[in-house]
Amino acid sequence: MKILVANRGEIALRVMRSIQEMGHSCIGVYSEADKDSPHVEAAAESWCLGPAPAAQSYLDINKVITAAKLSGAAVVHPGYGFLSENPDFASACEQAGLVFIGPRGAVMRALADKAATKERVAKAGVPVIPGSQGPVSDLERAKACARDIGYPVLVKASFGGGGRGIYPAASETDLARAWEMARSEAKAAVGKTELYLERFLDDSRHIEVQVAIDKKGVCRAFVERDCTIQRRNQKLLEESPSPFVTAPVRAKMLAAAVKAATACELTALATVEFLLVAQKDEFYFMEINKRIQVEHPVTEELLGLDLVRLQVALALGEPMPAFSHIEDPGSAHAIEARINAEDPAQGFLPQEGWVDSLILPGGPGVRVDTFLKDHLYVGSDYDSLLAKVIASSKQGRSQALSKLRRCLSELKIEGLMTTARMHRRLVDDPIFTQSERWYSTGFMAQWLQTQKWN
Amino acid sequence: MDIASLLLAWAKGKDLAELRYQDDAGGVDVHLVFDAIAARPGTQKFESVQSPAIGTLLYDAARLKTGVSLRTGDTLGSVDGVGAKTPLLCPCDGRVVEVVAASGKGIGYAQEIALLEKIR
Repeated sequence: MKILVANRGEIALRVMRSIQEMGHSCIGVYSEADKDSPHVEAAAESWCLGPAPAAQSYLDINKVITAAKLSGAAVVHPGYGFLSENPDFASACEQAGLVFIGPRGAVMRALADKAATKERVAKAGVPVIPGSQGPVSDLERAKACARDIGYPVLVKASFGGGGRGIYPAASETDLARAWEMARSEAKAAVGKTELYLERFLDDSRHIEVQVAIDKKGVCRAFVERDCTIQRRNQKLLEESPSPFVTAPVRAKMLAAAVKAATACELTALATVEFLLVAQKDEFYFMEINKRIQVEHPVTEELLGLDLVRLQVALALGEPMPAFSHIEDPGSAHAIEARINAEDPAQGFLPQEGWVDSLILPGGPGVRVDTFLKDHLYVGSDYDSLLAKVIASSKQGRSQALSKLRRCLSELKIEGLMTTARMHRRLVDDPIFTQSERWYSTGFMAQWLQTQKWN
Repeated sequence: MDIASLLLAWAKGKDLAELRYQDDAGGVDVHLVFDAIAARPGTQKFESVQSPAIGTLLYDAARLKTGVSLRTGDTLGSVDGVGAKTPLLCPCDGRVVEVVAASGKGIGYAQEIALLEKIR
């Protein structure tokens, strides 16, 4: 069977590896800027979609469908980002007779409304962040609602994603400003201005649960991932299990994730995101992702699984395998550092340039997912993710951290400034390394302010 | 060494067809043409007709064939993709030296269709 991988970079290569191991043939697509990128060679055949800008290549639905038709592909794997959560793309695949690896277009269209999704999940018995019941029509009603919820609150756009259209307000005066900013950002991004309100849980951790669902609706959840190390809602480092999730909380959280995914009628793979509140062992549903996540290798390395293979098999109608031990990490631990072409010394300014030379870490319990090679030009047309360095150990978090520390010192990407130097410092910081010390999603913003780079 | 020698030393092995160098003050303006390389296909004497889109390439084989002379802007055919039909236009005045892509087959964006020898 021919499967078209509608993506680029490390995830295109990652997905192609599983597809090839399953005995299928990979069709690649690329933009003019990516003609030397390794995913083009890795595929059995590759089609150039268009010029560098994503809107004229990877985001152009008609061009991707054309490539599928020309190559005779029967299935499309969207990866993450680009068209992976675009309902119109899922529907276009269905109309073209292609199997889209992800939810049906109609399901995705319904889930695009975050306020409605939250209500749906709440009805299924999953704890949601206290807030307005659905969208709020105007500022006066928002003020009344915020008084009920209690400040600080978050004003959130019902449509859109990637951390956009979300503004905090600490008081009623703040609320008017946050309301306007969220409204105008949402209007500019997606043309829809519907907003809702939520209590702002500022001292919380971002914990997410990977779920898999087969076509009969059998749903399984895997040990959680902790993604608290973030900057401006962008994840920088992920680990599994979370140092702050106890076995009883894990059991509740995994059950809640299954309820949420089932209520949303999802297929193949999804990730349910929660906020875990400080010292209380309470957690709340935040949102649901309907694609493979960047940080999926953490779960794979922890549990010894191939999630992409599972995703493809489930999308093709295979039943859920009989998994054991996917809900219990034992003493194992896995941790991933995202290496981005960004300079921490310049406020994470995206970098571009030639990779003069490349040395990747190796050894037992080490995995590097990357698309880099010597003399590759890294431009600024796309996401800045260059590589994911994943270290795992059967002897717990501190051993996994030692391994990651060693990997980061082995890693050399000459020619480009990357976030590797930030990770090297972070893995030595006692707040981060001592598992018993609580830190929240706001930690990195404060930590970065204390760092001198020059 | 004078500037031309420096530029020649720099250009050696770089496979250039042409090199233009101007200094900031405008006092030096060098234009070098490396004949051996410039004579090769794909450089200045020749120009390729590239696909303007991804899709099925359709052209009249009687019109796009070796030896035929074409004018800039001539419509040679089209590339038909899902939801879009893009005209295939001739990029320069020239004579067809070689046709490398077959009509009726799929073609990617910017892939070479034919090679033209420019008519000056």
